[in-house]
Amino acid sequence: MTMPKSVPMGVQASQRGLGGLLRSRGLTLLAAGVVCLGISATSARADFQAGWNAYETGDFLTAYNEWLPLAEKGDTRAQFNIGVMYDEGKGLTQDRSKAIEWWTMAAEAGDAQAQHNLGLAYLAGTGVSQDYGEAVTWLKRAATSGLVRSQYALGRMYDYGFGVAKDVKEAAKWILMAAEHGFDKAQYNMGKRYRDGVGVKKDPAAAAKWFKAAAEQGHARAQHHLGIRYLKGEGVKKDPVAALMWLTLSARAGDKSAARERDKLMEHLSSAQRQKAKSMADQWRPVPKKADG
Amino acid sequence: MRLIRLLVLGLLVSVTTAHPAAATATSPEEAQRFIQKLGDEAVKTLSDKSIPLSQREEKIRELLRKNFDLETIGRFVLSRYWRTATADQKSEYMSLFSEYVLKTYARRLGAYSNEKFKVTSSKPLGSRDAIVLTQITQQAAGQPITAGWRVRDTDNIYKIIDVMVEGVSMAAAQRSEFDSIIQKQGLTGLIEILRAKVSAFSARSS
Repeated sequence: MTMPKSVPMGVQASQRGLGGLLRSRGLTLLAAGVVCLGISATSARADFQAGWNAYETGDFLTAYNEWLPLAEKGDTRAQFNIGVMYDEGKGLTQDRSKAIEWWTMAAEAGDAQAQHNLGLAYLAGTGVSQDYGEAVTWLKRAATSGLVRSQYALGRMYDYGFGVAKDVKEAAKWILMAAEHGFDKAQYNMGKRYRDGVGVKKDPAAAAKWFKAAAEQGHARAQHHLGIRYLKGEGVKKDPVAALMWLTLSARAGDKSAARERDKLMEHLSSAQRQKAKSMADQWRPVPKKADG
Repeated sequence: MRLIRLLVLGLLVSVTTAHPAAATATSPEEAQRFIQKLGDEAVKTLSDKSIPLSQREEKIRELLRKNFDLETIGRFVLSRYWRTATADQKSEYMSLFSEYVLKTYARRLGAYSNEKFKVTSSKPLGSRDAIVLTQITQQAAGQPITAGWRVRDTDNIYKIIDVMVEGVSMAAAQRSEFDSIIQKQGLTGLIEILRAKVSAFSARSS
């Protein structure tokens, strides 16, 4: 039986189920052709939105059939999404080298998210040979067009000297850009940089400010650090109740060392102070994430 | 695929980590109830097509986060390098590793539905844990898969610390993969690879 042209090898994977997930390691996914879906290729009235609607319900085959003709005609959104389907094994047998092919097409046409994913694939060596230089090239293109995740990832490459000469100032420049756009991980990183003077001048007040920005978005480590700043009065006015509130929030978010700090601090506070910190923590709500991170 | 290793990840973990909590044995019966309940909830979430995929994945992610002992697993997987890592590396690794596991599984599981999930048996494992065996049957085709969930009771909180698929510990598989990365590229290299893996963009609507 021949598979319809628009049904790729392995498209039956969406029917594969959890069992298939568990099994997929190494065991070749049931030879793709074996399972005949009996689905005929829909004639190519491709529609990006219809593909997206199908994707959201988990009907990956329909999504693929809508997007493939668009992708072949150069629609970078469709190319990007098909790349993701291959990368994540959604509806298609996971095939990272195919993901790379689609993302490369979209990236070369200027699609920033595709540039970002491609850069990361080179960084991790998934679907392509690891190549830090290529990783930097693509991340820089995406970062320049304003993607905060790429700005942050690029900054880390400068921090470590991966694919570029190590340059903590250049790292700080890119990470600050992402922090200013509201990316919580970058804000947390800027907090540490200002605390320790890495690529920027030491500045306890700026450190506290950036920890706070990330903490308010629910970043557990930043909440921990902010709690410590209030406890010691570094860069902020000493405030043991605020310290307890932030350590409590961090502990609730799963930070175990914050839980230890919280317990230590509680011993030194009055029950009124503890009560106040608890009620502040109970009422606290994260501000919505500002960036695409 | 790597994924799988991950998923099945945790079992091994137990061996290493020195949990200060009282080392009482985990009741196989309780562990079985725990896994049954978790499996039922996962299947229900995955088959609810009334909410968009991204939200189903988010729910699965929460479910996994609550029920996997990611810290124990993460430490086990890093093995001897944990002890020599700096405090900053530890915290960065741990947060990236957790995110990596959750994101990978949530994204993959988001693709599935129509599984039947059946607990078949449970028994003690080692001196502290229990292993719960399950059969997962797919609608489309294929043999049922046997997965074993290693569960540990710490102060009456049950968590999964490894998954065995067809006898292979996911945590062990992950550990050897990380070990070879660290040997070539150092812990920093591993951390950057994890960062890369968690920060890719997923499919988009426009």
